Amino acid sequence: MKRDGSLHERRERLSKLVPKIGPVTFARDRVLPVEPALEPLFPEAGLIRGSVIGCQGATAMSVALALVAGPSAAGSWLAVVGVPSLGLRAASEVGIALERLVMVADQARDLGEEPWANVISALIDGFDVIVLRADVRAGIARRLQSRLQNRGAVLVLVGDPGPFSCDVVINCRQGEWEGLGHGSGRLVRRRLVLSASGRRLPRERRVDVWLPGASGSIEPVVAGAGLDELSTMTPTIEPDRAPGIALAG
Amino acid sequence: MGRDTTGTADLPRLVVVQCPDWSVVAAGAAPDEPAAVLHANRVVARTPAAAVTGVRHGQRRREAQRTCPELRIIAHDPARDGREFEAAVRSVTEMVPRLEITQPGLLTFPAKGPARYFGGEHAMGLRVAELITASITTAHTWMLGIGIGDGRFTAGVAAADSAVHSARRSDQQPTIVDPGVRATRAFLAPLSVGTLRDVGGLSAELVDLLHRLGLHTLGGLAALPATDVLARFGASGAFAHRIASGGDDRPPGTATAPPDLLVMRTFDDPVRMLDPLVFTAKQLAEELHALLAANGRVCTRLAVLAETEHGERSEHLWYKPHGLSATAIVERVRWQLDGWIRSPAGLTGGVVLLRLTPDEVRSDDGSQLGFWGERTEADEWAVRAVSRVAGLVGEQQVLVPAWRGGRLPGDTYQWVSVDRVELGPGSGSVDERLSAADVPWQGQLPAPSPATVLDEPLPAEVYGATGDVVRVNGRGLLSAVPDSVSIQGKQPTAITAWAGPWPLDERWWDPERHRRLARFQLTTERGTAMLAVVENQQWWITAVY
Repeated sequence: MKRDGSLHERRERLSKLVPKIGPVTFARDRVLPVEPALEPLFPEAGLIRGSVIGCQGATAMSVALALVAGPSAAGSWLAVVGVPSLGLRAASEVGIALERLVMVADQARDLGEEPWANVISALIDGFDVIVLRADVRAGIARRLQSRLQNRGAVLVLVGDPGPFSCDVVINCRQGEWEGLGHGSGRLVRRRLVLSASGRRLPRERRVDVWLPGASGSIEPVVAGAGLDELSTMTPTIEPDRAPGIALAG
Repeated sequence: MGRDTTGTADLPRLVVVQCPDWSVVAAGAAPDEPAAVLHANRVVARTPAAAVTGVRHGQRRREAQRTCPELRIIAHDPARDGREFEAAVRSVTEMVPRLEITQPGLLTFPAKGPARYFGGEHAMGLRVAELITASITTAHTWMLGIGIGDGRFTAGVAAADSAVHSARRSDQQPTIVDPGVRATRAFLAPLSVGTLRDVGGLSAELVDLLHRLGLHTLGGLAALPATDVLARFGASGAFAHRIASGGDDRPPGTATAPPDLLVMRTFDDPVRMLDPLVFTAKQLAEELHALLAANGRVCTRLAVLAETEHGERSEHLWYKPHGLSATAIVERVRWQLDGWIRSPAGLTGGVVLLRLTPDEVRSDDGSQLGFWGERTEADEWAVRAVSRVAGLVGEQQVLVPAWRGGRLPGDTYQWVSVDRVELGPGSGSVDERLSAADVPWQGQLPAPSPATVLDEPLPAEVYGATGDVVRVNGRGLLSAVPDSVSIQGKQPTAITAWAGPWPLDERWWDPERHRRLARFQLTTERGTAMLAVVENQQWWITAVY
């Protein structure tokens, strides 16, 4: 290809090439799918690539897991950083594909702040979704965030977002558990009201969910579905070589 | 011998330069030090000293360490291999401008021009060996194979032969196969059909099948009628037959790319850093891949050109017989530019132009991107990111889940370090790693499971209504109804609901690992649901729902 001519001419030639060779981006390519129960929280019904989502409140860990279950099940890889206490069984129950889950151990943070930031940015390069408990300096957060937008990954922050600026903040208040009595029953499911707010949302969005539902996954709350219907599917706990259980007194 | 249906008139005379253990050379290991580069837990390259002790390609880490306990393990780093190879490529470029790189450690170029210039193929082969040895900074003589022959396959086999001999005689004599189909066949005939896999890139299944049918040599395969081979083994068998008999070794469906097909970017502000260039290359590669895919084609040979504001250029041809995916293209651009930017002479200016031009394309028969159970782009990116992170923090710090089984929430799955497993679908071990036993674990609490499983359980006390600590006796009887819980000595919170005890008596046959405990679920007035255990009369909070 000829390269002479003024900058202007070259630009014009290049701009003619753009429609021919420019990448086509469909709206659905920019959004990672979420579980149907969580779709009402997002105007695009999914997680926009390049965005930062904060999960705050008492149930942030559960909500973060439910949030990334959709992309994970759809084939995205998930990296977890700074969350050593992640419950893997719960993650698998909520729908996360464990074969595409990788965690960086917390000891790696002892290397110092700069190498630590390099680790996260390497993860942003290769993973679609990163779950992070953040405590980094503001400069590093900015750098990571711009990298995130370039690469099109989604960052889910558990707890205090620190210096990151969240596109969407999900407020995860404490929910109400069903199934546990006084010395009887067991934890069956929890009703949570989640609210999303942020600069991309003109008004607060709310959704009423069972998280975890009776099977551990996330389910929308359907009016009128009481616990009675569940009692048939509640398995009993088999005691292991149980010597007999009774409540004294 | 079968009918002579294939001529070699159109087969170019090629030189293949091969350094089979390039990865250890690039890592800077000395030949007399036992060292090996491992990828996905298997040896991909080793030093001569390691080879002497019996370390082989494809060996697992444990086996390699058993045969050679003092073996130094070097992490696999394709970026390092590519970067270091750039110097070798540059040294040969002085002699032959248009050479193509298949992978770091493997070069191909036409023999005709340089051979005439240097006074014969043998002299040229020695000269190439000299140039490459001089370009390797470690100043050791490495195993290097130089093969000259008709077509890529023959030259490749000759290079492998030369490499083996160079290791034995510690010189770098080229192996030259005389031109013509007769000489080519005579050279190939006694060789094992395994070369079809090692050099020709054919599947291991086909080679295995040929062995089981008693066809052990290329000559034996070539002696069969071509039509019968096609009927029995299909297209890949026919291809194997063709290359075994010295015929055209380009994969079927290969063609020269249309001349107007290229993607490029110019930069108004010269770019001096590698990362923005690689990022641009990624966009270009995706554009190119999409353009070709729209016509059902894939690029097998690609010219990558970068030019600085002062006219310095770096242009290489990259070759991959089954076609370059977008990821593969980006990787090659990174290798080329990284080595170029870091070259000792350095660049005087920033890069203003980056161009990818397909040189040869072939119809995409799907041998690259599979459907089910094969790696997708996302898998490739992630696996690569994992190896980069492992390089930054050490493999022990990068963890993946593995199923273990057990009755406590933290026991069902455990984290294992990534160096012990193979990632991504198609590696087989994923199923093995994560498949739960068919039968449920007796005594496991049913779903839902706690989202947070504490690494270190928190000591707690559970009080009855009278303020006495609740005890659980050996028969699972409680001394009082739980009323409040205090975690780590903090102010007690009221318990709103609870259930248990679910006793657990694990490994009673093993005095060392025997555990006897009782599990409870509690919710507090703050709405938190927890899993508590009592072991040896001490309460612990082990998980939060």
